[in-house]
Parts: sequence; C-alpha cells; structure tokens
Amino acid sequence: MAVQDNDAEMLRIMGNTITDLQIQYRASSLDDQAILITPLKEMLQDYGQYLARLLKTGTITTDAELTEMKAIQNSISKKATRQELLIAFAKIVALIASA
Amino acid sequence: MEILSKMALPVFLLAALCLSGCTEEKAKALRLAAESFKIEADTACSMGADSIKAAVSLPPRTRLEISRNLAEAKQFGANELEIIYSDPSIVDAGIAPALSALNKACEAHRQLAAIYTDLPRGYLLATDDVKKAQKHVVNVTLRFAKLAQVFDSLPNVGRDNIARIKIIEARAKAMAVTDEKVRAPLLDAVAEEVLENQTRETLKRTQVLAQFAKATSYGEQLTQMSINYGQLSVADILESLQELSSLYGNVTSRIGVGQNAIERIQQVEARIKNDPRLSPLLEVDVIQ
Repeated sequence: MAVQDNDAEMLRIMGNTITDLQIQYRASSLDDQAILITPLKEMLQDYGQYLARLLKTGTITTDAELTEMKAIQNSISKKATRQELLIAFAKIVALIASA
Repeated sequence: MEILSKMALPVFLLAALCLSGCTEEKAKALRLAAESFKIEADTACSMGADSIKAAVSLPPRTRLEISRNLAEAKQFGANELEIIYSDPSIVDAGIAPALSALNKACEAHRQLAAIYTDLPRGYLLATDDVKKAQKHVVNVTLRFAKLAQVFDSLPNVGRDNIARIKIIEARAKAMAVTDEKVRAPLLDAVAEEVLENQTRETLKRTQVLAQFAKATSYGEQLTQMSINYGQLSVADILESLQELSSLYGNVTSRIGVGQNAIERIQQVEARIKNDPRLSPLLEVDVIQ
C-alpha cells in the first residue's frame, strides 16, 4: 500500500508548519525560545511519528523471517566447513590412490 | 584396496555434485549479486535517512546570532546556554522514530546478503539452503520496492529546510530595508536563490528516487538469479550484473532513471507478482 494523497498533504503541511515555527524560534530572544521550544519539539515528534507510520507500511520483514534467514546463513556456514573437510579428505584419497 | 574403495566414496559424491550445475564460480557470482543488492539498498537507505533529516534541519546559529541572543536575554544561565546547544538534538529526537522505522525496513537486505557469504565455500552441500532462501529473496525485494514507493510518495524528499529558512529570513531582512533602491537588488538575490534551491531540491529528490529504483532493480536481478540458479551459467550471471551496472553507470542514465523511478519500481513489483514461479512465495503482507 502506497502513501495516500491525504498523508502526503499532511506531511507537506506539517513540514511547512515546522519551517515557519523554526523561523519564529530563531528570530526570538532566548527567553521566548524557552517557551517556543516545547511546541517545536512536539511538532517535530508528531512529524517523525507520522513519517514512521508510513515508512512501516508493508516494508518491515518480521522477526520470524529474519530468524529464518539467519538459520539459513548458519546452515550454509556449517556446510561450508564440512565441504572444506570433505574436499581435503578427497584430496588425501586422490593422493593415496595415485601413490 | 577395500579401504581405498570406501574412501573413494566422497570423491565420487563430490564429482556427482559438481555435475549438478552448482559450481564455486556460480556461488561467487550469486554472492556478488546479493552483495550488489545490499550495497545499492544500503546507499538508498542512507540517502533516504539524509533526506528525512534535511527536510526539517535547523541552520546552525552563527556567532552573530549567538551574540544577539546573549545581548537580548534578560537572564543567561545554564538553561539558556542549553537552549543554544540543543538545536541539533531537537531535530534528531523528533525524527528518531522515522529513522528507526527506516532502519528496521533496511535490516532485511543486509541479512539476506549474509546468507550467501559462505556459499562459495559450501556450494556443494548447500543447494537446499539456496532453494530455501528463494522465498526470502522474493519477499525482501518486494518489500524494498514498497519502501521505494513510500519514498516516492513523500513530498519532503529532496527538501532542503536550511536553504528554505535562509531564503525566508533573507526575504524578511530585505523587506526591512526602507530604501527601495537598496531593497530591489536584495530581493533579486533572494529570487535567484529561490530558483537555484528549487533546482537543487528537484535534483536531490531525483537522485534519491533513482537510487531506490536502482536498488530495487538489483533486488529483482537477485530474485531471478536465485530462482533460475540451476539453469544459469556464470557468464549469464556476470553479464546480467554488467547490464545493470551499465544502465545505472552514467549520469544521463541515472537522471533518466530517476525521472521514471516510480514506473520502474512499479514494473518490478508487477513482474514479481505476476510471475507464476514467484507469486506462490510471497508473504501475505507483501501481496496487499
């Protein structure tokens, strides 16, 4: 599922609101910044969470699948060791046979 | 002699396995394809993370601005100093959930590439594992295509917030000048910056989306190699990698790909979903 038009519009509005608030924040005295910092933080957090929700939509591989992939990796790794032993063994056999 | 014939069994087994179409070179080529997908996907994820941050970043305070802050403050203690220092952390804390979600989405292709790390050493015995991995290759690729589509839909990809703030502040500063003759060239300079920033932002967005399209194509390529592994030769695999590398290699192609990024990504998704060998391997969440 892709991002809906209203989600995109909401992000656009939130982004512009953050920019305007940041400009107001930067133009303020430190005393006023102490007050403005809270709504600015909240706005950025809302934006970050909104974006996070969209980024998670249909994109996250489950922990179970990641575990399964790890298991396949481990299995190949073990077989790699066994294969090396097998090849070394085969080389010895070939050496003895040719002797 | 009897011992020798018993010992010859592994040699026979190895020879038989070698005839099954699985060679060390092919295993290396498959690993290269998986690593290429990982590298391109990692680059896309990194560019995506940078674009998320750039869209809301604050310009660092200049020395002049800090001097003004110090002069205007009714009181100046630890809290006020902390405010000056906290600009980057406000943004970082705000976008942390988004970056965390992106990082989680980008874990899978790294784990996928790790599957093939030892394949060239274990290719004779690991044919079942390669088959088992097919399901994951397909699903990880399609999930990455979805992530690419999410980025394509985000309006703030490419947005340079620092440049935008500077433009708006420069305009306000120019408008504060009462002498129209002095104000006009200042506004003209701002107008120039508005246009230049628009070009930069469009280019940045194109580059990010082109990278997602590129990584998605590498994922599709790995999918096809994984499914057709038994039938492909080393030359086939390397030729296919070379083709993709050439397609995305030069700047003109990259820009072209960026402009058509969403189409390319959707085409990959459609091809995977419509492939009768691949569609049965798809998880429920990626079909939706």
